Amino acid sequence: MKLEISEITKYYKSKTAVEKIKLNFETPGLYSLLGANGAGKSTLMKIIAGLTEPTTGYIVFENENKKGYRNLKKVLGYLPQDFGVYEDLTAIELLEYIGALKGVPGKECKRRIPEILKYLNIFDSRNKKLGKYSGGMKQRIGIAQALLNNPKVLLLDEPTVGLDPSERNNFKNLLSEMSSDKIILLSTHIVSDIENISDLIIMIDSGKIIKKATPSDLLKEIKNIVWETDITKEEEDFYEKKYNIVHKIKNENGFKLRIVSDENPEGKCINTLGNIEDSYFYYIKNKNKKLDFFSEER
Amino acid sequence: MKSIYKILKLSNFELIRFLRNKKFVFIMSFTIFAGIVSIAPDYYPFHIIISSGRGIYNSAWIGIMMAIIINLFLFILGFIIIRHNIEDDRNNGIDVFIDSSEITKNQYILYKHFSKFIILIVISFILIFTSGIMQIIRGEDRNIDIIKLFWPFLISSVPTLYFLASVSVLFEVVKILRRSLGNLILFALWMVYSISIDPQPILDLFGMNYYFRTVFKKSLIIIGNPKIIDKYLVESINYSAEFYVQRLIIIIVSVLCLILSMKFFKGFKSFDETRKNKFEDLIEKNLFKEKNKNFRFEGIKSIFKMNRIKFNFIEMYKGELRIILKKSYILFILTVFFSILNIERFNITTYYISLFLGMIYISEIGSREYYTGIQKILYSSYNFTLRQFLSLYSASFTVLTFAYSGILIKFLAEGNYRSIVSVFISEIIIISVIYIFGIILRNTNFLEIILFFISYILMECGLRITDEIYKIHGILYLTIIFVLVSFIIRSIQVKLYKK
Repeated sequence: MKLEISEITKYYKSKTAVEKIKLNFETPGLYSLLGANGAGKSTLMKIIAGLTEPTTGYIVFENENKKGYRNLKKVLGYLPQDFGVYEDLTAIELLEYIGALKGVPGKECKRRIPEILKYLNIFDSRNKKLGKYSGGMKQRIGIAQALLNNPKVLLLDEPTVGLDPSERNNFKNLLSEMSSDKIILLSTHIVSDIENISDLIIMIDSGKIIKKATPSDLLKEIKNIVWETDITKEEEDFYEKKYNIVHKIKNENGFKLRIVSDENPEGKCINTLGNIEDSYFYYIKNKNKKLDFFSEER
Repeated sequence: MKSIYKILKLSNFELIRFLRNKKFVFIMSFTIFAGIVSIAPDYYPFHIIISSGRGIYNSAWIGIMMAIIINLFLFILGFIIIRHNIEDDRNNGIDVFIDSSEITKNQYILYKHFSKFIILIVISFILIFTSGIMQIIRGEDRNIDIIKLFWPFLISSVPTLYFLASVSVLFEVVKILRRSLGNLILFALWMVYSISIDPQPILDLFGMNYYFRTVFKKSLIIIGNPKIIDKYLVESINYSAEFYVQRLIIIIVSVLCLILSMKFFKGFKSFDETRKNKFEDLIEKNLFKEKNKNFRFEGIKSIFKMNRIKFNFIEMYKGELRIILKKSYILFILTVFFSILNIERFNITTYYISLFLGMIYISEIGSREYYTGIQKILYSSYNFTLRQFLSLYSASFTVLTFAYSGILIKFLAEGNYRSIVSVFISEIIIISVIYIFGIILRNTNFLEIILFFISYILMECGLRITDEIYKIHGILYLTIIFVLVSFIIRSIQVKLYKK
């Protein structure tokens, strides 16, 4: 199994959505695309799924070039970031419909749908019209349709949107299980979604890959650059402007800061253990995106 | 074989969706009503498809009547039902699943075409089934002959419905035909083929020429209060070889349309902007030009964060004007063109064409919010209704005045100021009617068809409605009432939505 993304570039009028993205996936596993909103993750996903043509570059699957795209579609499961459902159909009917679109044989479809629905905890609502489903339930239907054809390549674009904490946890377990025999490419801006389950984390910003490494390598790289300190309110502006702040938690005297920096900020911070989120901030170093991230995460 | 199975299976789900849709109840009520009225007793005050004589109500006659009903009325009504099946997939957000699945574009077009055709066939079957029951109820001949009942439908209606399904797909695939221009072409087709004319047109699409020559012994009237003076027995209908050839040609033309659709279909990418996004974009660019410079439109959610938005009437008027004019520039040029034709010499046909086109141009003013979901923004805004209402009226009025400029120039040149005022009054009434019906019907296509029939009937009656309306006693009061009613309906709509 081999999926190669070769020098993919996509322009929207004058805006560059993704630029010269080159990735190779040769073994099954969970590969995570991490980036802020508008970084180009969804565009890349759409290009791989065949929804958008790249301006330059191509996708190769199992040594077949772009012209053999249908072969990839046969083994592809795709959960888009935004999707809709036919609200007059029930969950079973919609999944049978999508099964027909994907060319899943009727018997296979009838066998798999209840299994997936049970796994995603929506089996009891299988005969309810989708118009009556909540946002989280619709998201699970989206996940179900992506798994319907037992895909070899699974693209999940922001899959945990609308899921409650327990559903997120179940979903992460499911991904871990599935990654043993599938190439799973998951895009997210929520670090906790991928923290303990990814085989490779690909950080993306302004359409470019800024870092690509395994979680353990990322953690090694930031071993001595994560710092914590307490500051007063008066010092807040100074630190905000000068340092790359990951967390800012209010306390009695002012704030407790978590900073990523190659050197000890002002020589008075305490070195602490880093995590993937620290690593992300270390590589991004972009204040605006950092603020976006704060608002999404918390 | 696998492809055929796939198309059948997907069409099956399309049919399920249609049968569960609220539209279905409405369509079936109308269809059954048409079935009943078309084989009504002689004393009924209202009939459709009648001549001064009619056949005994047996299976052969009723079968013919149903074929005509289907060809004449289901052609238009069915078009509304199946008009936007492809675009619906885009707007429903299903397009992403379709695009990422292994279904090819050709398979998708074939599936959409087949499902449209099947929906039309199902409606027709229900209509004919109802008519069979009506035959027993009428009691003039209680022997139901299934073959005679269905034969005219199979021979004359199935090719027409197949053609309609093909045209409907083509009109969705070709961008320029997706909206009012496509509707207009279909209305034109309907007008040409719904009447029996001599010499016969190249294709007798509805079979009207044939039926008129062979079945109806006297004049044929569609909708009216007849006096049946003659009854005769029609035992069966034998179609001529020429008729079969005509049906075959219709099928061939339909297949060609289908092939063209496959060729032109570039996937959902060609539907660049969904209707919702298009209006969001227009709103962003036009209606929300805020006085407060700090406000930035960042999607619907950002609007909810705003407690109050101050709207400037002039800005809103300009915004509404841009939204209306975005509809179709070609249509606007056509409207002005037909209007200008009247400057030198008045012609009732061009007059009504420009009148109808002008109405088509503003036909979305009452219903556009429903299919865009933009009402969440509009209604959440403080004191928005009155200003939006007035700006919408003013913008529509401006557009109609331009659209009828030819007629107005003619009156101006003649110094006929009364007629000019009359045109202005008509414009306000037209806007009110379109606004009210738009809000109530929530369906632009359906509204356009109503407007088409109104224009058609007025044209047939030879009434120059816009320049003679001032003669109606109390027309000014009536106009004010119209405006008030539309405002009240709009206010109720907003209140109901907020509840």
